[in-house]
Amino acid sequence: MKREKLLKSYIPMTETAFYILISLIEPRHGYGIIKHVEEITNYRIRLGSGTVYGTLTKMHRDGLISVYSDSKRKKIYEITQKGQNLLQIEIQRLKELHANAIKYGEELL
Amino acid sequence: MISVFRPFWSYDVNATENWLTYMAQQGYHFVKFNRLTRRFYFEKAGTIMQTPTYWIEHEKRGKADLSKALQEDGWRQIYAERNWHVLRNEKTLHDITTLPAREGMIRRNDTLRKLFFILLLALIFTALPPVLLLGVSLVMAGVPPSVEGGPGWLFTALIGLSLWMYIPYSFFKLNQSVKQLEACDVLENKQRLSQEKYTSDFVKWRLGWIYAPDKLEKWLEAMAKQGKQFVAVRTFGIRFYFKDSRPQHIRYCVDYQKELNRAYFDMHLGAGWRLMHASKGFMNKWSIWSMAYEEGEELPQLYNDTVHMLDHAKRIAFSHLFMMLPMTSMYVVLFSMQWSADMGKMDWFMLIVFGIAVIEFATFSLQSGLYYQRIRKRVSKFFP
Repeated sequence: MKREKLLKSYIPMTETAFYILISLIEPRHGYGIIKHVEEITNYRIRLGSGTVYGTLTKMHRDGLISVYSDSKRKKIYEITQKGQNLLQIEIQRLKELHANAIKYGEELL
Repeated sequence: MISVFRPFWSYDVNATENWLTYMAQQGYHFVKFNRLTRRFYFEKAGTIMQTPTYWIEHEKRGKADLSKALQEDGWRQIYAERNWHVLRNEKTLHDITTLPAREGMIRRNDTLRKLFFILLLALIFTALPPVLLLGVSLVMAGVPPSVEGGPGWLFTALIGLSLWMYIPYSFFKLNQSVKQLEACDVLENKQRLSQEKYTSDFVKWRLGWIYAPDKLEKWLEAMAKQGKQFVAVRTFGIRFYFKDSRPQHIRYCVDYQKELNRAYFDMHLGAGWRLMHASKGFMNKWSIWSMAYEEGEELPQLYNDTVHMLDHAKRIAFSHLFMMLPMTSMYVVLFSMQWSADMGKMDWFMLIVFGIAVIEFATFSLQSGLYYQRIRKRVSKFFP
């Protein structure tokens, strides 16, 4: 997929896509992703396995993640360089969002 | 450097990988291939490898992007061009613990298979008129009609003949390839399902549930609450087996996918879902999953976000409407043609048959539309 198309379809990223992609900086299997996202969001986000499967299939098709099988023939997913580049762009956007939230919205807290 | 012509190498990728191993054992190491000329290039090497393992991937990752775990297990990428990656491991397959992906390869061959299926249909349809004409003239006149060859008829005939060889061959080989690659991937789970012993107390019939899968879920859940636990589906997915148990809260999810692969089963089984049913037709890849939960607990869901919930419902409704609307209109036309004709006894019979067909296909279309409406409403209610 072309870069512009990729940016258009992934950025801004949905919460689901963001958490799935960021957990794949470490290689993980499907259920590992669900557990990891639960832990880092304090059980706020409980991903459905269908949602994870759908997202992974799309990301794999777009070259954001790669797949291989481990010794028990379980599928392991891992972010690719292309996926890392995309995640960086999203993180920059989130940083800006965060900075502006503090700068202009702090008094509401 | 030597080169070998291997025209249909991707139709049986396992055989091609084994062939690369064989060549390496003879002292010829794979260097590169040319996608257009379909030639594989080898270098005569001083060292003979015992039994290296080759793997050909069709993946959309970057050229140099090879997972660390694969590298640590001895995999090296020796060639990459576009989405093709050729990997080699000096160990034998038995000593290797991590395997590269097959998903991309299956997906590619599946797309090609569908393309060749359409081409095959087109080929058959273009051949029908002349063949029929020939047949009719043979029957009527008893002699073959005289055929005048146009300019360059030999050339045209040769093209026709090669198309008739190339397209059917490609379709059948690709069909085989996809089945074989998928089988390696899925078989284990399918076997696990069919070998599972179950006892049942009674059977209920349920027809046409694929047009309203949400109602099937509700029905199964209500049955479980009454102490009638669903255990299996048989006979083309219409006979539902139940056993008496204590009343339970069980969530059932009916899922529809374009492809069922190992990753799919692994994902849901890993998340604690139990596979109750999986059908694997050319068009309909349905599965039914179940998970028990306690009262007051959050309802288990296959899809936790609106995007995927709606996508899933859309996929189901639209693929049914795509089939059913043309069928409905076809039978409406047939019905009205029959209606306007002079009626004999046989015509009344045909009229009734067409009438039933219209009602049936219209009902399926309507059900599919209503199903999508229900899911949309539910999604907007819970996630405004």
